Amino acid sequence: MPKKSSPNRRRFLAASLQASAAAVAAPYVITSKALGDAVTPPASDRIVMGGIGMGNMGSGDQGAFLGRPDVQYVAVCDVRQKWRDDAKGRVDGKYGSKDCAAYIDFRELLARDDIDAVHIATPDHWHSIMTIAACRAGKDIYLQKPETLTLREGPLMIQAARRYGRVVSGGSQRVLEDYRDIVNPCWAGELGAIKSIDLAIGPRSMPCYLPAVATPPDIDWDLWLGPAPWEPYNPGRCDGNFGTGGNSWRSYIDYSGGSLTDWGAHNVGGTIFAAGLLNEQPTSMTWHPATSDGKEAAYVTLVYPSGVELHCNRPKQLWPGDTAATVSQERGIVIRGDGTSITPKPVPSYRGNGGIYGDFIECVKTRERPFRDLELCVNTMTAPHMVAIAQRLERSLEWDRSAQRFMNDEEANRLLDRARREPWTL
Amino acid sequence: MPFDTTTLDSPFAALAAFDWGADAAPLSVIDAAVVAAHGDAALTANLEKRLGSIISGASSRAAKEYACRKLSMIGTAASVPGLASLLTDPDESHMARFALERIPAPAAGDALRQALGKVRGDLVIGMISSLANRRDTASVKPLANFLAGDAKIAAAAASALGRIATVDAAAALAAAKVQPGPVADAVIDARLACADALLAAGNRGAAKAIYEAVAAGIGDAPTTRRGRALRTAARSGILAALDDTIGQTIRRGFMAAWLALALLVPMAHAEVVAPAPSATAKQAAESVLAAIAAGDADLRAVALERVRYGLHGTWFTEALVTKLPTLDPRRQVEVLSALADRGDVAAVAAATSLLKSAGDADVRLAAIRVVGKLGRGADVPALVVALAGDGSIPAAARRALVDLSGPDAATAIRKAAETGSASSRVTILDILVERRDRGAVPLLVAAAGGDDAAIRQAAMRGLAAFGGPNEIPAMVASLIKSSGDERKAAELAIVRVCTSSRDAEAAANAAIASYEAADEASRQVLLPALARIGGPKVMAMIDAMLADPAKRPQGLDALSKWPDATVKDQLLELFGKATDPQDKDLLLGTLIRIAPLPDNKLDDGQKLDLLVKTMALCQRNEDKAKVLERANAIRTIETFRFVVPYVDDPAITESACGSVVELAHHQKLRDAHKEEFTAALDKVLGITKNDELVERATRYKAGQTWNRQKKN
Repeated sequence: MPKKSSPNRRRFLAASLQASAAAVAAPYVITSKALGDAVTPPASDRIVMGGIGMGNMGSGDQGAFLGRPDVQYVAVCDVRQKWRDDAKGRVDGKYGSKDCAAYIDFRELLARDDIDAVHIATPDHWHSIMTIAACRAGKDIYLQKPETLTLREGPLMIQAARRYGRVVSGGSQRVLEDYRDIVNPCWAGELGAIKSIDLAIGPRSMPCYLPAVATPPDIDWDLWLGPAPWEPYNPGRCDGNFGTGGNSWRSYIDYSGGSLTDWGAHNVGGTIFAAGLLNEQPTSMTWHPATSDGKEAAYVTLVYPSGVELHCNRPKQLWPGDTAATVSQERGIVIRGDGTSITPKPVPSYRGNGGIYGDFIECVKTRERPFRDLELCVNTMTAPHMVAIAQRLERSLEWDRSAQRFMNDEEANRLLDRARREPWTL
Repeated sequence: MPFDTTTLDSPFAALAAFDWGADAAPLSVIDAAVVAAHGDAALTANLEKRLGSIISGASSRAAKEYACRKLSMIGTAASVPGLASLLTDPDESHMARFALERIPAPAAGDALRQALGKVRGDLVIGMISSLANRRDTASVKPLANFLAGDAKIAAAAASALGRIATVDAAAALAAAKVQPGPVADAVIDARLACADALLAAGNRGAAKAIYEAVAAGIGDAPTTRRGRALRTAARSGILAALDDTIGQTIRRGFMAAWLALALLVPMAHAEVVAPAPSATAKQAAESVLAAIAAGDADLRAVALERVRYGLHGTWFTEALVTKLPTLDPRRQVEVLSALADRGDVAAVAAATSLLKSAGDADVRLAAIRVVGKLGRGADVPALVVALAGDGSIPAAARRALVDLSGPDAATAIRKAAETGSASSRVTILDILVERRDRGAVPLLVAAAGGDDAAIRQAAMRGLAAFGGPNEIPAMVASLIKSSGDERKAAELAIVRVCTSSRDAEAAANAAIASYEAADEASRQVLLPALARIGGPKVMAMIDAMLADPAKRPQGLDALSKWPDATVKDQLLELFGKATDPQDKDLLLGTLIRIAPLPDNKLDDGQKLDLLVKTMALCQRNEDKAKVLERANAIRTIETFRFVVPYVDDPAITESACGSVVELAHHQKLRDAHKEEFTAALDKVLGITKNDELVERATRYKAGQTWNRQKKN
């Protein structure tokens, strides 16, 4: 029988307080393959990995890491039994063993000293707590997007990653892979200095008032909720599909920023990568209410320190005409430059082999920063978070990056973060 | 106009009776009022009073939760007593904190602090967490008192002190007497957080003292991953405290989070100056240089991080460069990699030297990366030589030439494209294209007319990317000169310029002008390209050919290359009249190709209609299979229903299964017709022998997505 954690989390907590944090829940058994072969490096050169959150994206991430010869996958964790069992089954099937450990509580997985790195693909409300805990445990992290749920989480996560010298890669593979048609001309200087961007961006998340349904036995509901407010179980509240219309956690404000941050991580990420704004955060958000005649919908304009204006959902009738210094992208992105002559810059790319996953693994080995370094992801996510706050408050705001606060708007600052349900702390 | 608060009566009555699952529509009125209350003290007070009645009344947990959320946005000191009364209730405590944590009034902090002594267990941790998020400096003493108590609470208190991160908080943590275990771990983490914050505030001495104390407590040889991470934190902190070369960029007045950003921003070329280093910076440099050569991988990583993002100034780059020859190859690779990220051009000469002289291939690769990131035009010849190297060297050199952006780089690369062997010139022409070097267009035009077929093809690849109307004559000349695969590629290059470039219409006119000016033999070569470009002028030419029996085959061939479905009726009519099997095949293949093209010439219904008609014309299973494989580009339920019956036809079932699965990939379509898709996917799973289809169908049935594997 594979070693599996008890569903009784409190028992684990009590035990963990008595034992060393380095206690190993299940030993990693070196098999006959340990010495490696022509394709597989010896065990000592493989990155030992585990996964937390094994649902939709987690299983995809798991597949990518599991398929790498330089990764030894040893543990999975999910609060849902089916996803946990399925994930363990994939690992055991791959290696022809029953050695993969399966955990309900992520802290048990993080307590294993043999694990070098983890991938995290839980709902967004867990990302910051798990990332910081993993950094403290000395793990490197591949973190699914959207990396943050609130504006305050980002700096704290970066701080943990830098403090403990961890490699933390965000999980938007699309930023480099799907936006070449806007990235290449921008970096080649073909638009001149970037001046304005129009971007179609999805709706923000909403409150959840779904009725209570009997909690099924295969989910640890309290642990699924974790730091989020207690609310009764309903499958529509916690389903892991990609819907944002009310049948998925991505729809609801306690667990996600909605399509605004989900697709925002991709679209804003790709856009500000193209426009060279990855190291910037917006300084102002201008709220444009819908016109009373209904002809123009509401939209938000963000302005970056370099002067670039990012219009989110600006009605097309308000767009300036395209010029030779305009590029557009099928997902509703238009970037406009001033047509001046500027020096081309080489487009950054992944390190190693195997796309964004290979980039992460390569950086785990070399200790370099990955293509989607956490800091760049946090900068990316500030934009959709700010749009959400401007939309919620229906007014314009200004942002002080150094203080990480809105200027002259105490109510907006209230929305920087939220209280976490005990006993979870940031 | 003042807000009419009587409009709130009914929504608040609904809220009083609200529970999960009830109609939430009335709550939207309250939501809007909360937004409208900004700057409206009277409305705020009115709302606070109403919301306060909810939380103090007999409403459901859901209603009280809603009220707390709204008070978190607009609550003032007036709401604090009501919220504070909920702090001791295990069911309501969190949501009361949800509001109190956000209310800026000092009374909210007072209430949370006072509750520390009134609650037990996890609720204490909740209060501590909220006080930490408020950075409540008045909590330092009460929090310190928890450090010696219950372990879970003590750990939370330590973390909170790390978030508050004042000198007092740091002192309280330093004084904590705790046994090894989770509380001690939390204390160490918190001490490091305090040190980071103190450093960010400019208090280098206090920060360094904490880092050193933590480092001493960990020892030189931690045995656990966690211990190694702590040592990394302490050692990098000590270096940061010593490294005052970028001290002026530290953002004062904010929490420690931005310390990391301020310290670790890579140097840009322009920022690399050579200020005289301070004694402490020299001390940090000596530590870094020693660690780089040492055997401890963690400490090397700390040192290399400092190389990448700290110790600004050419003086340190030069010290590293001097150290390079003394290191073994593995260490040289690490230092070169860090120097590439450091961005100081003072490292280029040493890298170029190693590129030429190092015996270890990995060192040469790392040196190439430095030259590519920091080099200039003068370094191009060395990289061109490396293009002909062994193993991974050519690919690295190619990447370096693509990346090279220093002075004169573009000019030097263009010059290199004009000399050397044909294979070298081809590679460099491709590099110019990858660099998107539009300044290379004259060079590409000249190369497109040359005698070497490989060079011509490379030039045409470049002109396909950057060409316009002015380059069309040269491209046409190159096409006419070509044969075989080169001709196909040249044809597509011209089509691309005439359909996708910024001045596509003028380019197409230039291509037509070239056709009209050409002799008959050349026209035959150019016609397929014109047919792929399309447009009324070309259609007139094709019509004329179809009407001329001598030119009909040429016209049919041109029509088969038409770029969109506007010719569908013409194709169907010609198919109906055709008697030659080869003509029928050509026309049928064209219909299958054009039907689902995503060019907005037809709507989805018209596309499917055309595909259904085409299916009816198919006699052979291979043609039917092609129809099914093209169908999945029309993502509608009607297409799905068209495809599904063919799953039962053994001769074409795999094609049908493939299209069913591809259509199921689209979640909105799948979810809107869940039962139909589930039944079809079950059928696919019972029939297909294709492993990938099995995996995909299984995932889609389970409501999961499937990531297409992309090539690097």
